[in-house]
Amino acid sequence: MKHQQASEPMDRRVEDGLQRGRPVEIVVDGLPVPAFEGESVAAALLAAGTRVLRTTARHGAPRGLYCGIGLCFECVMIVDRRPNVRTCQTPVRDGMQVETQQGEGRWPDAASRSCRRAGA
Amino acid sequence: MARRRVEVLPAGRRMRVPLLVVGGGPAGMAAAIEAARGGLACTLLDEGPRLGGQIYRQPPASFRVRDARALGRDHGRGAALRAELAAAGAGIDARPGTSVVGIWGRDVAWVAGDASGTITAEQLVLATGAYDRPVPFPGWTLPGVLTAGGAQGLVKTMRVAPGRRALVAGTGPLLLVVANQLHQAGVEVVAVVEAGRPSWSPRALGKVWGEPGLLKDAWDHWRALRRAGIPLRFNQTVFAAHGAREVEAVTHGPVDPETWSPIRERARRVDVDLLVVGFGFVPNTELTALAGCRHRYVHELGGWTPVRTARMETTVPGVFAAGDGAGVAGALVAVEEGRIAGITAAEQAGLLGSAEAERRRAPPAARLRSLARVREVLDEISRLRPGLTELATPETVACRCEEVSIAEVDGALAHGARDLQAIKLMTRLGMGPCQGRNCAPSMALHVAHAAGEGPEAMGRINPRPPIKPATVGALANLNLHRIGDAQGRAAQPAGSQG
Repeated sequence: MKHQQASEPMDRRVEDGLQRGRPVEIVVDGLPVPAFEGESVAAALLAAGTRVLRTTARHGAPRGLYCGIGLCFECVMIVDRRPNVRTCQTPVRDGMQVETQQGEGRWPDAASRSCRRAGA
Repeated sequence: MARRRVEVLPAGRRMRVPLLVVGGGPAGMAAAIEAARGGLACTLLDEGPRLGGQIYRQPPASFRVRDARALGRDHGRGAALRAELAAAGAGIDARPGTSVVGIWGRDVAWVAGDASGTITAEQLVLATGAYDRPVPFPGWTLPGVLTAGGAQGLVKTMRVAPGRRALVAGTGPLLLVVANQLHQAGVEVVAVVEAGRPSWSPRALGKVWGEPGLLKDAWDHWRALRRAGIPLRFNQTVFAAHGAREVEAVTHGPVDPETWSPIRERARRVDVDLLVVGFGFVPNTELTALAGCRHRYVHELGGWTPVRTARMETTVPGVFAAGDGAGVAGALVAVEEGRIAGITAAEQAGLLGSAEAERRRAPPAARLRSLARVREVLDEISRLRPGLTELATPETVACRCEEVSIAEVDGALAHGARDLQAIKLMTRLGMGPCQGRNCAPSMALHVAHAAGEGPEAMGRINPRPPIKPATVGALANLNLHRIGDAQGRAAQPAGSQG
């Protein structure tokens, strides 16, 4: 995975009109990505120049943000170990763990975790 | 700015409300405002983190607006409506961050994260809005291809530029707005290609003289593009997007002015990393379908739309539909439709006499008559020509979720499929998480074009609850076996016949 931190930091945020929220940091495929409270995960990634958010199940084709309003499910990633999360609708949180999703994604040790969650 | 604590609705319990409004955009907010003014308490649900819907979408609560003008005129219009909502008082219980996942009779199932519950509503206003019409062409699934609405949302509310160098393609006045917003955000816009004829020609604009606000919007954006030296080319469109992992270039060129068939011999390739595509909008009718409302196909309104009276009543008593979700006509129309729905709901609840309700409906009805002239212009714009379906090649992805190609759809047709439901069963088209929102409108046109019939003959892909993915835990808490008891019916989607 190519991330801009490796070379020169990229920032596609526009500095007018808005005062952003508190700066936070999310971790994307193990690398830190700067973000601001209130931003969607997809916006933070786009601002850092990362546009491939997942690869498809059948052909392994790259996909990224498309509709931006939560309808198309193209921007889903694994967020805090939960797959198929719409990153255009999900606000960042400091320390949030985000992974590029391959195919339909995977739940980590699915059995024990989801049973506990359902019982909660 | 004080951050309002968003409370979650009482989970797992059934609530009863006199009026439930689904959708917190212009139509839904206006319906809630008028209902509350009429004395009818209402609950307003919206999926987004803050009210506004798409066109009046607000920046996140943790952002502070320093210069409202930089965010565009719609920001001001949205702020005015939100102020009206706040002034309408405690009768409105607004719950953003809440998705409606199904409707059975008057029982409405909602999900907010891992929490869920049901609301039994005596009356319902469905104001679910619209989404960008998907048009398949080679490379349209590459990262870096964004819908016009999606690109606009990013620039307006997140202030993030989605690329460096862009082509804007499609049809309708929104292209000008988006191109302008991208330019102001520092994106180099190489051109705006409009498949149609100049809809903002002086002749067309003459029709909207009664609406100076809209006229000024269109002029302002056109002038700004000219000042920036961004070419606006008519009767042209995008043919393909190219790139290994992301958009690196696009091919565009002229189309036949009558049919919009691509004239491929005259295609040009240009290096861009962003392609913004906007071919008008499709109404979001999943909830009106699940509520059992009758629909009809109206080209000019974006496709399938619920049948309504002038008071926004659908064919199901007590269920109203307002705004772009009931037929695409823009935010200004949506507000007036929402007002009429809210007033009528208060009247039907017995809180407004018929004379008073009529008096209150008169101003929004007059506004709608004035805006109808704008609509004539919009109708002409949103009339898609059949040649657009020729952009896709056999290898082009038709269904983004299940990765079904045009060739596979054509194969199903060759094997006797005659409507979308049959194609779905044969190919898995529309079976992914988007539930056909992205493939059904374009495939109806594609198949109709191939069969020489109208898209209405292709039927629909029936929505199934949950219409948005929900965790098993959230669904378990809904107690689905008890839903629909009040109406003495089983938990079956009321609109399963479409």
